Amino acid sequence: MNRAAAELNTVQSNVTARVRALELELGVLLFQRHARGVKITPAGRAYAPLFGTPYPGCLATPRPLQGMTAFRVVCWKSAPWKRLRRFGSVSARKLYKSLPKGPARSHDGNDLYLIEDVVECRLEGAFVAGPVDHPDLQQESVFREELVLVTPRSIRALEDLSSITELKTIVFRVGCSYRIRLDNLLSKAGILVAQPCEFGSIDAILGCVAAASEFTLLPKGYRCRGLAGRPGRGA
Amino acid sequence: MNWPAEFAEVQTVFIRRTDAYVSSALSAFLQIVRPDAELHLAAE
Repeated sequence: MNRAAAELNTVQSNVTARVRALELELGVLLFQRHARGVKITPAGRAYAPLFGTPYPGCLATPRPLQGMTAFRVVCWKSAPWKRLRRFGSVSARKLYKSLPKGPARSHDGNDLYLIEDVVECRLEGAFVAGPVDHPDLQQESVFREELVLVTPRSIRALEDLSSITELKTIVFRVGCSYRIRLDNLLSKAGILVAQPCEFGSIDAILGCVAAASEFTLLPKGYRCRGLAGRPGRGA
Repeated sequence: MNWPAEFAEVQTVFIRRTDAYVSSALSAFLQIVRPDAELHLAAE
């Protein structure tokens, strides 16, 4: 502690107080105190790489890890996580149940928010639509899904879309990767769309598509009764 | 009408900071969610 204080150009009591505050915030003991000084604990050793990193946000807002086992991984709208549970079958479910707070939760945001949360160390990881190009992030492919245009059954072909006056898309708010793809697709196809209607849930989007001559772009797994999915590989 | 490939599919990726600490639990989780884990589990 003395050497740390000298290094930081401050007094020892200041260092000790900061370490204690950090331990309280993290809920783990970073150092074991004894008469001759302190000894780093296994938890302190595990956290050490975080505190040695050059971005100060990590130390200022340490992540709420619960001991050494819990972590926060988030996917938007929970859909990718449901697929993961299906893919991972029994082992993934066992792991999910075995962790104190579960490894994954849905997030009331979208890919842009999730990426920002990971960059800012508020989350350990996230499932988002790739590819993600950020110098501080690394990514691993998890699974690939086919995209479909979801339309009312009255629309039988993609060409029908261009004949509809006041065509509207039903989408999530700005930042949704499906929305970005849909906008780019329509732009490339030369189809003009009025102001998009934004909704916060899949159910609301699908309900709106079924009720009016409107459409959206979603992974194939979201298709539901009364609606038609136009495969993205050539309809 | 053929769609460009970038609109036909969406790739879900798992992102994390390159300098982040990977706990044993997160490491185990990643082992499970990787695509080859699916094949491994199917073979069991």
